[in-house]
Amino acid sequence: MWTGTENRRVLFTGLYNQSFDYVYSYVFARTAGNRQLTEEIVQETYAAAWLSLSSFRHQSSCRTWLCSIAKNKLRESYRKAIRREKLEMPDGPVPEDLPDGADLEALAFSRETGRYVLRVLEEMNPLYRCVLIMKYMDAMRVKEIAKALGRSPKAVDGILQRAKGDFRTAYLKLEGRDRNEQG
Amino acid sequence: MNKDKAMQRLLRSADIPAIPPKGVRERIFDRVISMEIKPALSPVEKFFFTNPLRAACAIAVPATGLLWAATGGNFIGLLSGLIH
Repeated sequence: MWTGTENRRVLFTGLYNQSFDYVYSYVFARTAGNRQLTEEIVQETYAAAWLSLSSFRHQSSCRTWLCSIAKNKLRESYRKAIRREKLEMPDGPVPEDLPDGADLEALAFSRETGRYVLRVLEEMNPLYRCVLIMKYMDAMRVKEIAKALGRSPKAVDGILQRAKGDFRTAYLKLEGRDRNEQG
Repeated sequence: MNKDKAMQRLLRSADIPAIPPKGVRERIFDRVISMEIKPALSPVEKFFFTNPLRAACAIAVPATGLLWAATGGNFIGLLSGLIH
């Protein structure tokens, strides 16, 4: 329990300095490199942590605690983006002729890979982007994503298949273009 | 499954340290630390103020019992006594 405001401030300052870079990077990747949105979410995360500092029980590391807050803030922002752009989640069948992604397996990773991924994600439909991030960065199951977005697992599965196809096409195009420019 | 793993590996490659622009760290800290902390309600205060109906019910039950006992189990007698 923190009795004085000063104690609270000291504890928070330590926690902030210790975790800021980690939390910033965590949010940065999950907003597809959007600096403005990252700043907003990081601020909301620390504001929530500051206001509920006494509930932090030290049972987990402060990074884990802060990332769980950030995760909730990110989900809120995904839901807002989907609502704002009035994006529909079709319940229809998934097209069968989507690219299978086998060519992604053969890709060589370079220092630029992460940057390409962020660029492709940033340019994608926000709905596809958030589903891909939740599925592949956060390793969430389809059921969990559906619950987080308030949709049916079937709809999320369809979106995921389409998102993978779009991502693959855009990524290979960007990577190929860059390679040609360098070559 | 391997295709999924390839996709996962690719997306996770973006999960790398990012350097915040100059001044962001300080700006966020100043904004957050200046937020006012509202004092938390004690359990008794929560009981009365967050759900007053629940408190009213909890008070009404023993109050009724007390009245019942004071009137000897006769509410009608009490009412007619008050009227007359």
